[in-house]
Amino acid sequence: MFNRLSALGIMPGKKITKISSMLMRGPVTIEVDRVQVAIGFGMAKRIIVELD
Amino acid sequence: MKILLMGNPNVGKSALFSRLTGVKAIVSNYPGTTISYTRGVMRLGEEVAEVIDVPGTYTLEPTSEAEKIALQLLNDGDIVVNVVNATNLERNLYLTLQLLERGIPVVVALNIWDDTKHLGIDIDVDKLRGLLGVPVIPTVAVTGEGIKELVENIPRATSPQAPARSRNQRWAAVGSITDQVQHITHRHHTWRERLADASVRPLTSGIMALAVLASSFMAVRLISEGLINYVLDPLFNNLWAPVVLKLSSFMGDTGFLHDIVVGRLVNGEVNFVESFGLLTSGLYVPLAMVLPYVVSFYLVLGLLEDTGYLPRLAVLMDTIMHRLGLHGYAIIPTLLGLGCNVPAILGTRILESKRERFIAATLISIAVPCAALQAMILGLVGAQGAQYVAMVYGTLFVVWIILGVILNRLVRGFSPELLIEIPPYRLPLWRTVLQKLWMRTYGFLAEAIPIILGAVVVINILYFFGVFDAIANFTAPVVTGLLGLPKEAVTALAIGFLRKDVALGMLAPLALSAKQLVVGSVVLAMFFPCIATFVVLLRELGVVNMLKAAGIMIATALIVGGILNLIL
Repeated sequence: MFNRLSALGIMPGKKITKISSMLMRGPVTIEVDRVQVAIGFGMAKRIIVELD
Repeated sequence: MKILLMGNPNVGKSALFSRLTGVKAIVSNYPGTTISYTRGVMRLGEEVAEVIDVPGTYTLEPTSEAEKIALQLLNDGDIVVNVVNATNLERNLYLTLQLLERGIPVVVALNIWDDTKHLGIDIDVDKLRGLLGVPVIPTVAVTGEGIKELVENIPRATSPQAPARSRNQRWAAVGSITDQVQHITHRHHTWRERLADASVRPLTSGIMALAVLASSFMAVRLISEGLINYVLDPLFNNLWAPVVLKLSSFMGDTGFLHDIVVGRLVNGEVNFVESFGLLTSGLYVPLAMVLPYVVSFYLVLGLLEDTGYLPRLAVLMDTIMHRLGLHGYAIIPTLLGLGCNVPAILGTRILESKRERFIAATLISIAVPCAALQAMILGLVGAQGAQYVAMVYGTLFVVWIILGVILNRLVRGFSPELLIEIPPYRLPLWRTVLQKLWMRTYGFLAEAIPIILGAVVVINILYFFGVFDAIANFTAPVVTGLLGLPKEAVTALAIGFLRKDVALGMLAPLALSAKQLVVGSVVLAMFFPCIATFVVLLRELGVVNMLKAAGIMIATALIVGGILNLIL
């Protein structure tokens, strides 16, 4: 999982913005470096964020 | 000399490939369009070089089948043209640094350059060139801007002998490079971005999906029926039928050769659906029944692909697809399957695990009818009433869901989570859309017409020698007893292995009731893949899994056909 996320530029210390999330444990769409990435719920819930 | 086009998914490698080689490649706006590699040649001064369009990859540590292919290709390339999305250096340069560490000569194409201006991104190309130590050329592959300069610079590709770095060091290096060369000015949201956000939000995305799918379906029908009713039917009925009728009387109205070339006359007239000769059904089925539908389907699909809507549909469908043991991205090969199952099954390579690929490929070959079969269903079943067409599609959809849920329980292994990049919306360029439409239509004609004509000849010969009667009597208990079809229908099921459109056409002369047509269409769609799909399934799944998939198909077709026969 770490490999796949970091390949997309999502890694510790990176600033990400949540755009939306689907109902019923659907994917979460975030923006990182001006690119939108959709992440499955199971993976998204294991990403720990610190609020700005 | 081998030149590899490498870069992240959806940065325009295939568009650049077409520009460099003149070889047409399918270009779309979603990651994972190219799942296998395409080769072409280009002229470099005196030399002729081979160019390979490599599937997109984020990193040289592969995470999917398509990325493994990319890595294998890298081992025997001479020069890499690293295609970089200029609007997202932060992520794209990671692969660039990995390539530089490999010691292979690299030239960087800074593609999608036109978008940097309106996005407020300013890149100092000279500085980037200095920091990377290789030529860097801004390009816009879809319009051709910068291509000439890129070609001039390919021989100047160099390998700056970058030291091997750890992953963290590499990301740190990417960060420091982008900080030095890139300046971003703030700007307001455009309407396209607002639309983009709406299409991944729960409520608006559902409404948009319904609107998009409904209007796509209507457009496909409108275009294909327009072509049939106003162009192809008049051509065949008014111009071609008299010619064939003359030929028929010249050949003596009957006989073995006559039946192969013209087919059997119905009430002294040519019947393009039922006659079943080379010059009647052999031409009418592929050209006037199937082709219009193939053209209109691929036109609409091409537009959807190029806008960038499909990955958003994947996000919406993710929750449902998880119940089928897949994730949202599997909706893309499934949609491709509505055109032809062959590229759809190849397209399952974008899925990460073997388990997902098995489930997706099995579901596609059972429950997703290709455009050719759909055209025949709309033509033949549709003639009995729209409700019967709805029954066929409804049954296939229900089977798709139920079988998916069952496979999800039974097939071992794991299905990973969805993780995809969502590309920005883009206005489709007519040139790319029409070029793609032409490639796919040509592919259909080149593949379908020889097989259809061959099938017509084989069918007539087998009829003549009474082979079908023998099979029909042998299988009568299943076909008549279980499915409630006349025993002659088994010939259609057998021919379904060659082509399903011809096979469904063979049901036309049997004078089936509407209910029997529904059962026949559903069983034919599910029973067994056509030979082209069979070959791809065998190659993608391997012998054992192919046999499993085939067993599931036959069992499902018989069970569902039997149930339909009972309840209708």
